[in-house]
Amino acid sequence: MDVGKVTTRVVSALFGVAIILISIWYGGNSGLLPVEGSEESRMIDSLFRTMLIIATAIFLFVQGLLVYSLFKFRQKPGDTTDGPPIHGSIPLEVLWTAIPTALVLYVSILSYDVSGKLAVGGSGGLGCSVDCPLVEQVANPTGKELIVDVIAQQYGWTFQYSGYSTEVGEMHIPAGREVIVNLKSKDVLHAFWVPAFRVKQDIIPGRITRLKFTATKTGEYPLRCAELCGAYHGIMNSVVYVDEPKAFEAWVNKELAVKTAQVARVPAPLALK
Amino acid sequence: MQITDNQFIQEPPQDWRTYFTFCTDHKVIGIQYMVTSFVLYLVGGFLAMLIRAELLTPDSDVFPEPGVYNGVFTIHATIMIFLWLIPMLAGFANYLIPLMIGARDMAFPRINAVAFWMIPPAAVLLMSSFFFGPAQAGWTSYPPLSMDPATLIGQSLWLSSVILLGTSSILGAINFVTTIWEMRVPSMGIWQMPLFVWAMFATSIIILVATPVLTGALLLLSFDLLMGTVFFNPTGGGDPVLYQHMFWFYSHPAVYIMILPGMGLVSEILPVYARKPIFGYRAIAISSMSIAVLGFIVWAHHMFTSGTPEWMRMFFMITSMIIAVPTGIKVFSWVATVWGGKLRLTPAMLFAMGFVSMFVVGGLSGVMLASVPIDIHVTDTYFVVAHLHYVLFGGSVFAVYAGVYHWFPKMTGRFLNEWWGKVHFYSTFIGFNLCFLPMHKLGLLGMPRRVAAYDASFLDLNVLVSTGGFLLGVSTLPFLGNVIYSWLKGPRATGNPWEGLTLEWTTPSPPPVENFERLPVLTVGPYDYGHAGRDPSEIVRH
Repeated sequence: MDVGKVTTRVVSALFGVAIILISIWYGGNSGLLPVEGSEESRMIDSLFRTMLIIATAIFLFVQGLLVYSLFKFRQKPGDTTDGPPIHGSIPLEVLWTAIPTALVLYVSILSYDVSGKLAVGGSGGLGCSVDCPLVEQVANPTGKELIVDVIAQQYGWTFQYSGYSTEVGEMHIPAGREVIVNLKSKDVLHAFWVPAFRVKQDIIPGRITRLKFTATKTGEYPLRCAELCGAYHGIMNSVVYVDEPKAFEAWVNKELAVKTAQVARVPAPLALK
Repeated sequence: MQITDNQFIQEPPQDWRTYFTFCTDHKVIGIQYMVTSFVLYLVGGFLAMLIRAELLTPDSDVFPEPGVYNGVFTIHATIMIFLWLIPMLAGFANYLIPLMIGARDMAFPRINAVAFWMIPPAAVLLMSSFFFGPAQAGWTSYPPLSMDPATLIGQSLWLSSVILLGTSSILGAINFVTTIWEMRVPSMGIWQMPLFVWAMFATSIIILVATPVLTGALLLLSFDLLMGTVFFNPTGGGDPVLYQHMFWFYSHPAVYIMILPGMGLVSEILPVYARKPIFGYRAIAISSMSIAVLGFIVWAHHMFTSGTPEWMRMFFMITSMIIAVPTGIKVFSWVATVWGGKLRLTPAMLFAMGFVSMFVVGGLSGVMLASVPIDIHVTDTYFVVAHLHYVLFGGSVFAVYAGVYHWFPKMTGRFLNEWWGKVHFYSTFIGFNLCFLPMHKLGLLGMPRRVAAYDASFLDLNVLVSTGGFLLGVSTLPFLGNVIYSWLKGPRATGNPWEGLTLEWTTPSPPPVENFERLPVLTVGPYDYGHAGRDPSEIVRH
């Protein structure tokens, strides 16, 4: 066999292996995601890493071919002839139709699977009004969850815990217990987003939307409005405090049980310079 | 009227004043579109610089009122979509389609001129809204925010401007479909059409089906805004999510309206400078058509967090992922076209290869966004901002630049300066990636889009993004200078300086008013490079 051909094949194979190894390493060490604060975030992050590995490999493959061509196939000085008259190749074209098809089916099945496990889906249904029974059906509360009504209003958040009439300006939840938030808007569209939990849901005036999640680590996590809601959209932030179950009980007894009548005010938008 | 071969050949217009008249020559209209939209691109780019200046610091401190910032990004996006990319690509289509298919003009020259002349008033309407408080609800204009009485005038001006632009786009599309279908030289079957013509055929069909739905949505929004109806107003029982469905039914296909012509331009340019036939001609043409069809059943992937039920999310996730297949076919075909060629690395070729390289990034992040669990985390964040700019700037704008470098000699009869063209390419490429690559990380880490203030932990990346953004802004200057100087004083170009095989290269540069002295007859295909006797003069058999 031709030595040159063998060398080319060996070098290509090595490049292929290198691309795969780099992609797998980058998928696990990209540093692109914030802290994992919920059970949902683990599943979503593992899906993200898988997709990032595939994406990195395709990225390196295509860019590698382009950069290689840029140097290897540059027109030689004085050469004004054309390249080879190759119009296509059925086997190659079948290959690059089949492989992407298989890959997108694979990531679709993975995403479908994760989506089913998250149970964040079906939040609200179509055209559902405030007292829509569909909402109850979709979220399937088992009675053990902590249910919190979240009220969004330009440009602040208030929280009302099931069983208490007090509206408070901070959200506390216990670690390890499933939380269902009922999202309500008093004015325009908002979105409830806790990046550490990887969950997001638009809040739509005229209907209740829902999210389910279980925080795993105690700490303070930013809550941000993610749907443009007006001039001060960027500062419509709050904090979700994830407490140890006992500390959470103490907070409930102190803040919710006592202040039954007093309704917390919506925090005024911070004055901007 | 039958146009005959011996019709008097007029010289191309010499007087610059022609370009300010209601002229029905498709080449004049093409240049009118391009120059107008480029001027508006500079305005939109200036607004982008203001946005990046605001985001240099975590506090909202550049604009006197934070509402003005929202107005700036709203008008930035509206200009870039409706007044830059769509009309710019329509300009290319106007100029090139009749030349590429061997026609003497478009099918409806007067409608063509009407379509163009709707753009300047629409632009004036949109710009004038800055004097009354511009629309501040984003280019998506979701109600109820867009129905805020405080921005009533600005929002009404925005609505009337976009409705006018949609109408212009529809008129253009009718013209393109008819011209492509009816006016090809008899020897050109559909499988001899250049791929840009295929792409514009697919694009025009999308425009004809989708744009009326946008117009409908915007009219209903106008009724809510101005006449107190409650189609989308929840306080009267209306449904704001209905608007989102109608809006995205147009606005997702609108992405293909902006990218398919770009893909077409690149499919023309790569073979010329690689000196090789396009790889997989039919596969690329069919991919354009299948993207046009599939593009109509993916819109709700913009609405995964809008209370969309789970079954619908799954349906739209799978359809959106499938779009990656025809798109992938195109990317691999372009790479295979370049592979093994004899690359002439002109600015046009660099931008075309840059297009392939950058578009891949946008495509890959697009597949991630199609996945429901990942989209839920990153939708409405800077990850989406990064994705859309990789597709529409790294994709469409790079294609536009490649197209300008490639066809400038044809349009003006003069060459652009190649050295400054390369300066333009490298500064754009570096500025673009500095600006938009870090945005992926910002979004994943938790920075929402459309904010004037952000958490201090995002400061470093935002400084990097703004630096890249300013470099990207500056990178436009060598291009601008090059175009103005070369148009006036550049070296003269011959009819076929790049040795291309499509029909526009068989006529002088710039082409005469009736395009061809004699209508050409095809003897070789549009991409038959590498065959013996490829002298372009042999394309035409008198």
